Amino acid sequence: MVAVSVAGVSRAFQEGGRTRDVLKDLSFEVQRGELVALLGRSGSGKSTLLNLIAGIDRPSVGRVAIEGQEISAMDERARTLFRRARVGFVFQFFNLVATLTVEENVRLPLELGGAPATSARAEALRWLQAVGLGDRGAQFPDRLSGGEQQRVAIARALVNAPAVVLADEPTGALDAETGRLVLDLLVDLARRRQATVILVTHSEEVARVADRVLVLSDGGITTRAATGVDGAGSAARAGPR
Amino acid sequence: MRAGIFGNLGVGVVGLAGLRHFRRHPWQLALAVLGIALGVALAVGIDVASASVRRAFALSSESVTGRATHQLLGGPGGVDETVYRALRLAPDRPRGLRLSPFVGAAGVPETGGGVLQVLGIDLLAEGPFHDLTAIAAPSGASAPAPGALLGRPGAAILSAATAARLGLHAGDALRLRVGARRAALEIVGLLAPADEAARRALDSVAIVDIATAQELTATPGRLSRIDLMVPAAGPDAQAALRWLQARLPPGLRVAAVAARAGALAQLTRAFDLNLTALSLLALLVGGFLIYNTMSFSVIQRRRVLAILRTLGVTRGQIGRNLLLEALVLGLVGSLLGVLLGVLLSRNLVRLTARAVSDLYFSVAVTDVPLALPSLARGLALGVLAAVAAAWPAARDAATTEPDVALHRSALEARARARTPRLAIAGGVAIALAVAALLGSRRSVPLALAALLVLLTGCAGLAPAAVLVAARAASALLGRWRGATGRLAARSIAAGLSRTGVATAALALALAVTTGLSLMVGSFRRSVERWLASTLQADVYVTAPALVSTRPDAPLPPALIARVRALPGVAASGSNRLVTVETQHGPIMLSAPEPPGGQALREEILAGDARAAWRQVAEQEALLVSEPFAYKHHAHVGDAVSLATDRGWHAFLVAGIYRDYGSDAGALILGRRAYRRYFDDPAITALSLYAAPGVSADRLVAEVRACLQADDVALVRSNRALRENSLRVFDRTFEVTQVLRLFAIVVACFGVAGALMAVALERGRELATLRAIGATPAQVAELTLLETGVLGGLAGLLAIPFGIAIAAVLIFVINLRSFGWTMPIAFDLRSLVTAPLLGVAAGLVSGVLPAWRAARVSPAEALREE
Repeated sequence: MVAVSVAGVSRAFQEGGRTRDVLKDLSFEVQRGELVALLGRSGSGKSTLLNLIAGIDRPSVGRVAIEGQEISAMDERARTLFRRARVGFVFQFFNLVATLTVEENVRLPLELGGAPATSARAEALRWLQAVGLGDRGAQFPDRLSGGEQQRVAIARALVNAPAVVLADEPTGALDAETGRLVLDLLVDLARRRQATVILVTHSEEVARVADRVLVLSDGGITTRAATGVDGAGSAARAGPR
Repeated sequence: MRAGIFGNLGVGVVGLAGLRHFRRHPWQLALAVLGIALGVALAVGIDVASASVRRAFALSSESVTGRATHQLLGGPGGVDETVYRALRLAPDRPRGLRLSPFVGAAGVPETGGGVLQVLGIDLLAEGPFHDLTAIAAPSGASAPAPGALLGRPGAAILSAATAARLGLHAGDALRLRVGARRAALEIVGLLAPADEAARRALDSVAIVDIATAQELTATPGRLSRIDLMVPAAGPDAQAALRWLQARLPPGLRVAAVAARAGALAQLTRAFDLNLTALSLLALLVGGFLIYNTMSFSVIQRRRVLAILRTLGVTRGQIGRNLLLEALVLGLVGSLLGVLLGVLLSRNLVRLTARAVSDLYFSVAVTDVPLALPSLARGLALGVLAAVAAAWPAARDAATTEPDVALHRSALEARARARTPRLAIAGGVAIALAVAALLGSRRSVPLALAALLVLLTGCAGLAPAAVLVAARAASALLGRWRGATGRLAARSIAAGLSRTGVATAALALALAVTTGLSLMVGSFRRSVERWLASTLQADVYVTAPALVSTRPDAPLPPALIARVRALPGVAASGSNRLVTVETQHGPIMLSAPEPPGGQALREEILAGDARAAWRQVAEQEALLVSEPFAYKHHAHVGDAVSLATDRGWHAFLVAGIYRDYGSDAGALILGRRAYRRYFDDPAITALSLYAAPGVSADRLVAEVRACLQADDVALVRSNRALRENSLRVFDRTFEVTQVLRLFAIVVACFGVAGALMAVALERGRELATLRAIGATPAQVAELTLLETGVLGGLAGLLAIPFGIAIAAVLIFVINLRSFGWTMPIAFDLRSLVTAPLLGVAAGLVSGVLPAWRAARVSPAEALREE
């Protein structure tokens, strides 16, 4: 089943008097449960593409669909509600709400969607346990290390059982060792929940965990099979478990 | 160029970085500038308006006194003109002693246009007193010599400007009301003043011959006073005064003009001082706004400041730079404030002049000159407030270590750590203010200063209160609005470094509103009670007065007789209200005669009520009002000396009575004693009791029906008189309403500024919320919840602060300024208004930040820092 479909998408921005094409006629699909790495240098349009898939932005031309629903045709409110229900985010700088406790941060997407507080709290706790922070729920984010904060962000991204998780340089602000642990956790949890993951990175190293690598360059995209951490490719691991 | 200026000041590009920061946040700059501008505008507006009223009064006094150095004064009936003739024709009159008879009256033109001073002068003696000959005629017209008035009864000369204002021309009839009479004067000439001084002296003045003035005031053979020009100080002056004293009949006295003018100016001193203090409150709130802005700008720029420090910019440079920014901000805001203040003063002068005319003396303000000292004071105050308010932020920025400056959490932790210290400092300030209030006995400026310290102390408590209340509100809001509710409450507590100051500013403004409202409400209730107890008759008849709280124009005897004979009148009392000279200066004196042996209804505050009235009715004793007793330290059993027609006489103080009619103080003397000591049979008010079966309204109609064409008496039922008195009361406090409104508007700017800064600071957080699915409406709701809760908290804080302000205003400031005591009345509406107004102000201030927050793009969350 196709989880994400990007068809003939271009995105141009007006800069002063001229138009700058960031993405040009991109087309690709991501299967349900697949982990795709989006690789590219700074300024290659990775974040722009992520914005389009999340429904934060709309393409100039083309269509973006998630689980068959064309979000590029939706209005802003519909896209927001769709994002709330079906998309999970993991940011490079964690972006936890400093004034909410760890547990409150995790249940935020559920509460925004109107879930009852009791069930939301239980679900948040379950996810915190899943990321190994079951005993830190009452603490505020600034008490946590970077790695711990990112684990909270992963719990928050997965708490509402999203169709697709968008991870924007999730290890970019962490040291190599912590980054590796966090990445493993993300991949493990996503695979166990059959969540589709699009991992934005500029690191070949990080891209190795993916089933497939999409390389963004000069506004275009090329696909290549992942080499895998063990160098054996990812075909064997592709698809939901 | 800018770099050059800043470079010369030793801040160079550091200064430019600051300027550019504000250029990037124009709304923040605009709110701060507007805040300080409004504060300065109010201070300047009040200052200019008060100065204009004082000046108008001084000019009208000058035009009446002319160049006289002294005045020969009599009792309420004035001076017999034979005294003038005898003195003038005395063969041994010292050289240099000049005399001029004078009859003055205040006339109200029927066409409107304010009060005209009618100057009745002796044109033959007048030369040196009023330099009318120096006045030129309008171009093309022949100058009307003052002699044009001679031998022409009913003739008057006006200045061309005054005539134009009244819509009159030479040859027209000037119809006006003088006391209870109507009269018409013929304008025989118009004067075009040669210079500005002459123009001002002749503004709102009608010059008539002395005989015409006597006719107008129905005082044939009497003079208001005799103007004197005594040679300049020296042996000649003393000889002239000795010569005069030796020849004065009993009951007449010589007074120096300067001393009398000073005594009149003193009348409004307390009133002016209170207005000024209230305007300073608005500036205090404006100062908080600057403090707010500068603190935010430091917080927002902590990264830049840390980098600058790392690069070697010294602490001194950073601090100086921030103070320089505040100076520029204060200067721009103050300049704008001065402009706004000048515009505002046009309206304030109307309100102030009316309040002064209601309470003290009739004054018509025809122009509002730009008094440079007022403008300079406003400018200096604004700049000083800005620099002083920026001081803590500058010190903070200068002492912050570069690594600490990089962490917002460290800043907030510091703000939280500082909160208890600030609360203790606030408590100490409050204790000091209370000690100053209790320790000082009579000083009004000290009491006002203590009030400002008290308010600052209250502001110091605000952050601690915000912290406690926001934590408490978190659970409540969480239950009510879920995640957004919890987030709103937490953000208030988490952003204490900014929300604390905003809340303090709003709480202060609302506390001022609550305090003033409680004070005015308590005062009004006391006045209502006082009116209800003292006004007992059914109908009152008075002549229209220039000062509405002082009906002292005599009623024509024929009218009194006609009214008393009406069938609807069962009984009547009367009163003579007059200004008499006492050892403490001129004071209003009532000589009432209640009907048929009734006692007065005045509430006696000291002394035995029954015995006091018996002494007043039958002996040579008087009652002194509470303000008189307070100001002149008078007690029961003391004596008060009055300048009577028999000379100075000491009267025993039999009691102290409650009176809210005059803050200058008042006296009540029995009619019998008054008649014995004053040759003045006039009556200024009649109180009528309706016959059985006759309603007050019917009696009013009966009295009105018996008025003749020339009578202009005011006939009012008890209820109408009470209502009118309360209307005057409400009018007096209109200026206060303007001040309250301003304080709240200024505070709203503060809250809006704070929330805008918070929204800006939390851009990434809001964007994250949007990215994980919060709708723009939810983000806006979050912001509005924050501002609403902040406003509500400020409103709740304002209740105890407001009660404290009201208590100081009622028990200290009012007593010391005006001599009035009254109980505090806790009006539920005044108390509930503060939190409601707070929530409303918070929500209104939150609209713009909420709109901005809702527009935050979720893509911001994905942007790299």
